[in-house]
Parts: sequence; C-alpha cells; structure tokens
Amino acid sequence: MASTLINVVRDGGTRSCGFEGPDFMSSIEIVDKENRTKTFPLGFKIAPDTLLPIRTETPSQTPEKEPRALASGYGIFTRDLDQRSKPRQPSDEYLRIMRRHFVGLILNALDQVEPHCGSTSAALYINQVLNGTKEMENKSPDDPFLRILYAFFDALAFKDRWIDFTADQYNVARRILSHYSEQIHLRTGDIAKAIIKLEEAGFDTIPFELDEPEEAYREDG
Amino acid sequence: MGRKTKKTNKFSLQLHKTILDLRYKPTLKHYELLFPAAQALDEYPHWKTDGSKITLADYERHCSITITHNVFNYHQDLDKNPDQSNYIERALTELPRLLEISSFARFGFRQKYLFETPMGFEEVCGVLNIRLFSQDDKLEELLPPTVEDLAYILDCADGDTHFHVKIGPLKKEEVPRRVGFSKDFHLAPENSQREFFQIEDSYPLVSILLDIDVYRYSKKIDIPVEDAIPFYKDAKSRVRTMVDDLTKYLFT
Repeated sequence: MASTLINVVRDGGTRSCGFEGPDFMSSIEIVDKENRTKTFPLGFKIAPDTLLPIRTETPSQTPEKEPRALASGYGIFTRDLDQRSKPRQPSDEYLRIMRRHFVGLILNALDQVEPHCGSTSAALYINQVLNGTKEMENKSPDDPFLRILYAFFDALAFKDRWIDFTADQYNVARRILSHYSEQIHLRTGDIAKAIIKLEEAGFDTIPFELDEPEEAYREDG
Repeated sequence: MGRKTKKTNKFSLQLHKTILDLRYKPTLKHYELLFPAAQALDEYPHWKTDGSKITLADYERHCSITITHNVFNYHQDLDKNPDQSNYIERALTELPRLLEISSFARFGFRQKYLFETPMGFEEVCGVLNIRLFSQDDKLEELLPPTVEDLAYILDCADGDTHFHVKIGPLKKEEVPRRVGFSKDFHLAPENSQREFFQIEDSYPLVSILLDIDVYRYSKKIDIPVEDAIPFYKDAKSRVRTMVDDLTKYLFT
C-alpha cells in the first residue's frame, strides 16, 4: 500500500496554482520545518507571502508503513488513502486518442468563438468547451490534462465570465491548450505551468471566494 | 546486460481475408463447361470436386477459386499471394469466356482487416464508441452507462457501387469466427490442424475488425462481362483507401 503524495506548486510567490490528488481527498496537510502540521481544506488559497516547497516525489518513493514520514524539510501529503486499491491505469494510446478527440472539439470551439467574442452568440461555442470538458471527464477521467481543462472551465463558467474575454485571450488559451495537449505524460509542473499561462492571459482559474488563509488554518490534533 | 530490442510500431494493420465473388445466371450447359474451364487455370496445384462444382487451391499461397453453376469466387487468406492481382484478373478474363457467361448479376469484393492495438478491449470499445456513435446526452441517459462491446454496421452507396461496412473490437478468441480462415482449402490436409493452430495463435489479443464489402448488382443480370476487371481494380482501391482513412480517423 502506498500513500499519495500531493504536489503543491508555487507560482512565483503570488498564489498557488494547483495540486495533485485523488478526487476522494478532502483535505491536505502541510508540515513545516518545525514539524508542525497544518490542515487545509481543498480549494484553499495560499496567501501571497506563503512559501510552499515543490515536491516531486512519486507515491512509490513514500514510505509504506508511515505515510506521514518526511525525508527532511517541508512536505505535503495526504492520509488515509491506503484503503483504496489503485485502479488500472489507462494505456497511453487510449489517453492520446481520447484526448485528441475531446481536446480537438474544444480547440475547434475556441477557434470559432473568436469572431463572436463579447456577444451572446459566443455562448454556443463556450458551451461546446464546457460540455467537451465534462464529456472528457466522463469518458477519460484519468487523463491529467483534465486538470488544465478544469482550471479553464472554472475561469469561463464562474459568473459567466466567458462573455468578458477577448478574442486574443481565447486565442492564447487555445494555443496553451493545444501545446500541452500534445504531451501525454503531463507532470504536475507542466500542468501548473499551463495554468499559470492561463492566469497570465487573464483567466482567473481560482475564481471562487474562499476563506482567508489564516481562517483556513486549523491546528491538527 | 540484456540486448536492447527495437521498439516496434504499437499499431499494425493486417489483411486477413480477400473474397471476390461473381454471380451469373445458371445454364444447363455449365456442367459440360465446368472442368475444361477449371483446367485452364493451371496456376493452382490442388483441386477438389463433388462433380457439380470444383475448387482449385494453392495451399502455399492460402488461396483458392471455386466454380459452381451460378457463381465463381476467389478466396485469399492472409496476404500470402504476391500474384493475387494476376490470379484474379486471369480468372476474370478466362472464366466468363470458357463458361460462356454473357453478363453478370453481381460483382462483390470483400476484405477483412485486423487492426492490432496495444489498448485493452474496454479501451477499444471506449474509443470506437466516441468515434463512431452519437454522444447525445439524451441517448446516453436512455442506455446503461458502461459500453462493454459494440459493432458498427453500415450499408451505404456511391452511385451503383454499394458498400457494407462492419467495424468492431475483437478479442483473440473471437477472431477465427469473424475472419473465417478457409482451413479446408487453404492448408495442406496432412498438417492443416497444426498450421491452423499456429495461425490462430498469431491472432492479436485485442484488435479491431474492418470488414468492407463492395458490390454492384443488377436484378436484370445485365452487368457487362468487360466491367469485371475495372470493378475489381476500383473496389480494391476503394477498400484500401477506406481502411486507411478509417484507421486514421479512429486512432489519430
């Protein structure tokens, strides 16, 4: 049995961009240098001055019997995941074909939305983007590229912000999605970079109102 | 240190069956023309007959031609005959003349390809499902969520040329029935069972069957004899193009 390590990515000290973990995870823990543990609910925002380490360990590198053990320094990990058996991973070919199918639909919709930006007729194409993401989630849920799509989905769907984005922004988003969709093996760092680029293009990928970091903290135990 | 093996292509397309089938109006005179006509096709070293029909075969090349009172057809298993086009064109030239066939009722050309894939069977079902079937939400709500197996069957036409297209995933154990290797005519009788086991064993664990039948028919039985070779060439080209395009569409 192995615990799943969470990778938190720092984006230049301004905000957190994403982390990796199974969908049944409800919270993550952070252990600091003094070995103090803090628990965060999912969806939390990191304060601008919060420094989080980037960890790239794979689950197989984590100790089996003591998932909370850390080699040194900072670490972030989940707990109570060992009860779940690991499902069979889809083949690269399957991921590639399914991704090309769904992302192709999304890119095509983004291509077509550009002349309609700012008008209600853009809704038709944005709907295709959102539905394409949901379809891909249903048909190929293990594809890591979905995490980029989720971020983009949130930026578009929240408070109907899709109507405010310009053709140039959609064009940039299209190029970002197209570029990263070519990489079958997306690492957490790649996903974070893609999300950062979306952010830089003006897409707020974490648009939801959340508790302040101080309020999200609670001492463990 | 183990030797590094060259990485092979994960997908592969293989032709497993070719059938050319020509139907014509039966005549009583057929029976006196049958054996002289068969003798003219001397490229086949083996033959079998029950008196009313004859099958000429080549075990090495896994091919045969059968002549009956109302049809003659060429069967090829695997892609073992480099002279297939010559064999077929010779039959299409000689047999109408020797059997005194003035016109045809139907031309048919059918090929079965297996597209080997490293994907699991369920994955292949998933891919074929999204690439070939409607993903309409209303339809999906009507049906159970997990697609365990499927088949895509389509009859279509381009002018007077008709197509019967079948696409579906196959597990290894399903291949013999779907491909239909002609063990009786395409393997030497003395070791046919052993050879057939080897062929069965070579079938891929998971594959996609592409079965395309191109045909032209006339209820009036008035398709000219001279159309036979052009039909064969055109049908062969169309099937190959369609197979290439379909595999590209499905898997890229």
